[in-house]
Amino acid sequence: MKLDVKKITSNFQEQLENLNFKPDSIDTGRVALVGDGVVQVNGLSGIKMGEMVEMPDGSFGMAINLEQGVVGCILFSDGKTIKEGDLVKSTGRIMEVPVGTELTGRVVNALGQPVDGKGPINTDKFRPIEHKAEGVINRKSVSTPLQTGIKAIDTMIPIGRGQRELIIGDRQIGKTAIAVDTIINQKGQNVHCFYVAIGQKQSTVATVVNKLKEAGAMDYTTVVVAGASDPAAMNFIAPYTGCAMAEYFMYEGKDALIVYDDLSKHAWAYREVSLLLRRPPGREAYPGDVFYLHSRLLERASRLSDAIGGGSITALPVIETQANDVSAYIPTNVISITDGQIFLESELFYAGKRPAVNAGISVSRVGGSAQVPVMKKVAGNLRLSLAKFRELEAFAQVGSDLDAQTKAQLERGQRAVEVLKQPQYRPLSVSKQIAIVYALNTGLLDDIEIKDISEFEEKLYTYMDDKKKDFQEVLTSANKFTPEIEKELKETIENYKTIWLSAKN
Amino acid sequence: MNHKISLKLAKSLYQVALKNKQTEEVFEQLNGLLELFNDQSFINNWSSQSALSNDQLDKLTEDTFGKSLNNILKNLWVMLVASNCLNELPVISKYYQYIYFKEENIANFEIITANKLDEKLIKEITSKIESNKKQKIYIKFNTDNSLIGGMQIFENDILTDHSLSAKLNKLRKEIISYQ
Repeated sequence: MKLDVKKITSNFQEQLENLNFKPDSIDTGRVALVGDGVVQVNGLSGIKMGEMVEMPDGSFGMAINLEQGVVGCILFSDGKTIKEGDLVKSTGRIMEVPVGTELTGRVVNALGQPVDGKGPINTDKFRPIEHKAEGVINRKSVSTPLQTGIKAIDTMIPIGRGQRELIIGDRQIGKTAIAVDTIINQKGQNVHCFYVAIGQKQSTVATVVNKLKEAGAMDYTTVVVAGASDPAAMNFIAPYTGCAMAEYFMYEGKDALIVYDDLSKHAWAYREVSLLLRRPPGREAYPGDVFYLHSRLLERASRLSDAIGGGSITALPVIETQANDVSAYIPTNVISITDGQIFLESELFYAGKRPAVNAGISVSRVGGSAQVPVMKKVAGNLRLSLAKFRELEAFAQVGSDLDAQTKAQLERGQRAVEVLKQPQYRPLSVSKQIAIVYALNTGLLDDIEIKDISEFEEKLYTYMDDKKKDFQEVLTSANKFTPEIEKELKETIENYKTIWLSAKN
Repeated sequence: MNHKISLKLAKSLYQVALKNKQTEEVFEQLNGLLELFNDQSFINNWSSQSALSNDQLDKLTEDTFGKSLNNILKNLWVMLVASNCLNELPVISKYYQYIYFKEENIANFEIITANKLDEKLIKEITSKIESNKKQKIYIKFNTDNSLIGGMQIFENDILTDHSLSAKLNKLRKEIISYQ
């Protein structure tokens, strides 16, 4: 069949004429300098801070430096085809990302675009990545617990919904493990989780995603990835993107948990961008507003008042230290912003005491009021007895002759350390934590060999699941640790201990 | 050279020109000097003269440009050659233009078309814009065949795109979103 070229041309012309084309007036500028993920643009006189700009190759950037005659933008692409003199158009839109339940179970980049190969995200809801944190009037104090499932944390450093709790420590000592365990433990708790990976290797992120999938945690989790090979601009905006996504749930009256892994790399990315934009460097070459960088992000985590829905965002920022030095610039900044910190110590980690939480300098400033009442009563003196044990342990190393009371205290302390050990990806319910801590504090574990404690623990939990399902519910929901509850708890442990000891012998 | 230094130089240039009531002349002559940058060998030759003394450079500038170049620009030219920064002149010129238009409340228009316009059409467009604007205007006409047809109108930084390429681009986006 012969093609009717005239007809095709006239059809196309008709299409063009029918097109509702009203040219908009847009603010423009010309590229003056491009390189290393930033562009400096002459013009764009009407641009707003944080506004998106369109590059000639169709990629986008964001204006973050407004000076007379020149605008500094960060690029979300490699910018290899951009050259001097190219036309840059403003979009009139402040940087925003897709939000909503459609993102649940997905892995997205810092722009909210899917990177998991599961197709497009069909949402019509967007939120700006920068948003002012709620004021005093719209907030409520933290009152509902957020269980991490980790004994060392839930007993001594409790976290409440809406709290910001820093996880800090050297490299490779289990910071991410705590965050991932916390996400896994939110199954069935109506908490939407967000894991923001900043500047991490893609292989590390893939491992985390697989672990979350295996644990069934991807059903309520979104992963935001800005990898080590992504431009610094992507690393810089990734936590704000994650926060915008979490805010959607908070303003819907729901609870969200967000993990920023980690903010040290976020600060590095911001330092890189700032230096390229020729902002004056300050301490450790960070720009002057590096405190505000993290404070404006973490302030967005809050518990809203009932008048505006009562939703919450709990933030678990992660900071990596060098040789346990918490007094460096970025760690001290983030410590001062957050409501407490979980300090992980490499010495404990390498001694096999995992999770390597140093209970002495870890603290939760507001979580106490959100702790389950029974747990609060049962675990109240655990931190003190651990501190006493550490003191005595140091003393016992030099003294050979110890009195009976000191020996007993040392024995109890060693059992406490053993009880607080917990394998990775095995979060524990509150009721089981209460049971084992009660057993420890009341001396019910004193006649069990230290090496047998973990086995006893495991079997006690199985026993509780088999025989005391309803009682577990009582332990979690009771407003007070009544003598009746205590009696039943003691009986449960003693009954099982009898079974266990007879089987052992 | 940092753009901030270029901006400061442009500001100083404007102040000196204003003091001598030569802002318009400097603006026009700067545009003329920019045309010299199309001949890269001419600029390279000049840039390699930075080792000469100021007196020698003065003489060389005088001999090259004669009386045609404004004294303020002559001094600027000598200073840029001596400090090996002649390539910064287009940036300084851009900033000067920005300051000049802003300070003297001049609306700066640039009209880009796919093909060169004839004189009649240029006059027609110019008078149309003049009648719509109640301020002094400056219009520059340029061509860019990637527009295919129609025109792009820049008023200072604001672009109103009436080009065929923009229309096609919109059609492309609509087709993609429809898919």
